[in-house]
Amino acid sequence: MSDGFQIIVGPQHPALKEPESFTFTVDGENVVKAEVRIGYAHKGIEKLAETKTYIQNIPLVERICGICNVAHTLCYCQNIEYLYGKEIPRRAEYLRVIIEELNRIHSHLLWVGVAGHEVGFDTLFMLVWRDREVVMDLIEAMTGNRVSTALMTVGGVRRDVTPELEQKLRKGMDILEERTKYYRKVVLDERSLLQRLIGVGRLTSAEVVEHSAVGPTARASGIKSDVRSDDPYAAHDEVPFNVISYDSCDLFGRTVVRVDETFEAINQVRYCLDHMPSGPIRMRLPNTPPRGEAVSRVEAPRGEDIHYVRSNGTDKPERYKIRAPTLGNLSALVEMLTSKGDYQVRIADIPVILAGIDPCMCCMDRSVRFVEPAKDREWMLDWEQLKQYSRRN
Amino acid sequence: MGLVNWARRKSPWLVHFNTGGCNACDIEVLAALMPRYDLERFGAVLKGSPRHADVLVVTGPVNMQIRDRIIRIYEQMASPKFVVSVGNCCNSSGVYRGAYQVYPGLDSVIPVDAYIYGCPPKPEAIINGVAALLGKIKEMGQTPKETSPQVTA
Amino acid sequence: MAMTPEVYRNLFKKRATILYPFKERELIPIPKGLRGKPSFDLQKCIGCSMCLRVCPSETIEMIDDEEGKRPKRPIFRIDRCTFCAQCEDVCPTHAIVMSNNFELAGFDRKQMLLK
Repeated sequence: MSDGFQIIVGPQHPALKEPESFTFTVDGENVVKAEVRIGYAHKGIEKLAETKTYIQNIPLVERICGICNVAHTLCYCQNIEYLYGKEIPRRAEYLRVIIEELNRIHSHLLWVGVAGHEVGFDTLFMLVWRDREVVMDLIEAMTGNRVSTALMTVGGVRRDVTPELEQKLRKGMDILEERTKYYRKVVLDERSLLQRLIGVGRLTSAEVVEHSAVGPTARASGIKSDVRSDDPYAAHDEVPFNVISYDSCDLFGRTVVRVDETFEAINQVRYCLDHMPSGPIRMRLPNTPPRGEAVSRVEAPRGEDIHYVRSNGTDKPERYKIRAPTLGNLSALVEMLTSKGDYQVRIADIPVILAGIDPCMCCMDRSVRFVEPAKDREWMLDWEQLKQYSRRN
Repeated sequence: MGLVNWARRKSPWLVHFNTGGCNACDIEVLAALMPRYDLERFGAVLKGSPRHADVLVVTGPVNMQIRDRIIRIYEQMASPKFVVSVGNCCNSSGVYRGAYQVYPGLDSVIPVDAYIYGCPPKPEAIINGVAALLGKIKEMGQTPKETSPQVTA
Repeated sequence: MAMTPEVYRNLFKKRATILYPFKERELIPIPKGLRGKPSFDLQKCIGCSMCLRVCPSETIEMIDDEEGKRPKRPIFRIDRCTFCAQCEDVCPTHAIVMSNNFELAGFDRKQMLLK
């Protein structure tokens, strides 16, 4: 029983786009404690993946999250290719980088609009989403659908880039670069936005390490960790880019990090188009991979995404495990929503702090709650108990 | 009665609920409200509360945890009300078919008036579906399905 | 104030809205290779069932062939389809082709059965 007034922001709420439930304990206008209840978006994907073949699982893995779908399919296809132990053609790796960076541009522009909406700045929301249509048209011309790209398969990619498409891509990148420069100026100069972002949602670098936050949430506190430079995959060992980080440890830093990463993504797409190797785009692989296990990780727009697969020699996976980036940011989110010392969280800041980690609740709903109906008790294991439970033998 | 029906189909107010899908259909529903496609030309406004709205737009597959909540939201809306299910996951459990937590379609839980197919449907397809629903309301004519108010528990 | 000049400039620009669906349908960009509703040509089908093996959502069901020319033939339940086009990639005779039709909205799910 906690003292103080409790506010429940439940599964259906105008500020939330996805079903999740938060309970805030408030003392006057300050939020003292926050509790999260997730699990509304749990569908049983990992269990379902064991009943389908590897090729049938590709659209399923793509629909773990619709906004960062390229990251999940890329991670899955890389995982299966590690099981085979084969290298895919170089042209396919460059094409994978192009679609991955286009996906990152669309996701970051989406976030800038949604963050503007949550602070009440609908003009920015409408303008950014109007300019985002440029990159949606490019993705549709390249893959056939605006959101679910379905470009990757085990052994390469399914479609190639024709010369007309290359012209369209270059023109689109020029338009986007000019508009993103304008939005960077708005983010740095617009007073009505700065007053709502500076000092809100503070997360120091010690807290980032303690709560294992990933992605732009961690990079805005000065920690330079990015899977593309720490552990390069696809063609990222040849395509040059800079890891963007900022020192302000609050929402303003996260906004600047995301806008600057959009510039880096535009440059990477141009480099890939200039230096595209020729050759096949797809390699035929047999239906059943050899026995073994594999782990692969990619840098999704929200952070680091890790998948694990175990194969027993048949054409269906024995176990497939997914750790999405928002799950890593969740305990950092609870930390950001707690008032301590001179850092006070007001109730009115809650929507923008929730939007600040770029939550993708559908990606991460893998919670487990133990229920024993015979003895009529239910309990959850916390972090320390889970460590003890998994280490005993 | 004709004037009231005309007013009803010229300003359908929407409430949007995501039952735990992959969010692709949600960003296409939001893109349909953005300057390029602009669903607000038809008089549609996105509201936050089910009590203020006429049309419930649902995306995502219905799983066992969310079933009671969506029935509660449907019962809180006032008659005459309409339900649109957007995306194939909502229509028929889509790619999650066979999962242990997913029901085979929204119409096994609440009655549905219009289905929009696609995975995800383009914003043009969503506008097409809403225009078809408004045409259906016009044809229903002078007697919309109005029932006496129910007391919700 | 960085936003104010942009807002003034937008007052004099052409409108960004496309007045779909009653006018201006030709302004909607429809690229080649858009993955719309699948179309099926029965005469090219040989009944190999490869499409059934790659479909992720049980859209395809193989039933007995009325014409007797092939062992089985597929029917498609489009209300379960994910439009991933893996059936188009794997069909050896190109009997399945994804068309450009994306305007799919209806009032009855049973109408979405493609034979």
